[in-house]
Amino acid sequence: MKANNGAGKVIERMKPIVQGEYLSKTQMMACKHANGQDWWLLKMMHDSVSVYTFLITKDSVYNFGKQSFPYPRKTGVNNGYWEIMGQIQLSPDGKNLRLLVIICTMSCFWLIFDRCTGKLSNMQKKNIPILPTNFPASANEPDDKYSTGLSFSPNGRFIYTVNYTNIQQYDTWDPDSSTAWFHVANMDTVYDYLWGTLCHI
Amino acid sequence: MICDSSGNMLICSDGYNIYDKNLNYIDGGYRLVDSIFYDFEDGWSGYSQTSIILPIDSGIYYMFHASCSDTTLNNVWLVPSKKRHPLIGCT
Repeated sequence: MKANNGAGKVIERMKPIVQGEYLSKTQMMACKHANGQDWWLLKMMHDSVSVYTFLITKDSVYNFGKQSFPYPRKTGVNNGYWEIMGQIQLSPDGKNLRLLVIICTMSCFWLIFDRCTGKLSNMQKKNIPILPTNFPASANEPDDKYSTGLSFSPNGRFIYTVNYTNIQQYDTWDPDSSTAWFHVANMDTVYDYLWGTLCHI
Repeated sequence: MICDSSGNMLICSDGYNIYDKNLNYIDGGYRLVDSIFYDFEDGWSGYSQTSIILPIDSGIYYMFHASCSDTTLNNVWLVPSKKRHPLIGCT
């Protein structure tokens, strides 16, 4: 950023760090290594519940490989196009063990991410309540079942998921998963297709 | 988007290009992916979490983005019976 009087300059371009893999177009997230200097980069595969982990230092990028979990991943009605759906997020607290939540079309997965080792563990599958789409033009899709966006509350307690027309909240402090979900809002204005699929929370 | 400590934007990206604070391409920041793939994607990525910029050292940033070579685009992506194979690039 010091080049060109502060306007910046690209020093090296298009340097592959993994090739020949069927990666998700979306679903990439980073967090600081527990040492406070380096970074972890997490990247989802497209057709499986698998996460690539990279350690980013000021000297190099280290591929820590792919960690896979035995759950089928549903990618929707059209495997090609619907890959745009989904996000991954890490809980925002400063602990070494963070909660990684993966949301991909019709599934939600939780894992524990160790910021010291880069290892993922304790996979759980969470079922997001399916609510009505509640929009007249959606007769062919009466159920709002395609989850696309994901966010934590600043204190890390609540998880928010967004579908086409509904936002829901999950209370991670609630030991009963059947009561942890709360419907926050649904579509009450002009339907915008992009709201659900592209403009993630 | 990367900002300074006062919140002023320094650089930002749409996934396939990098812009300065005036939204001009920075030096070398135009088209960070192969050309046919760039055109195939209309020159920008409108989806979330397709790229990320990380501060690495003083004034040094890495940008990571999913991409696809033109060869893979023509031989795999655009062949209906085959899968897509994005890769991650580092800029």
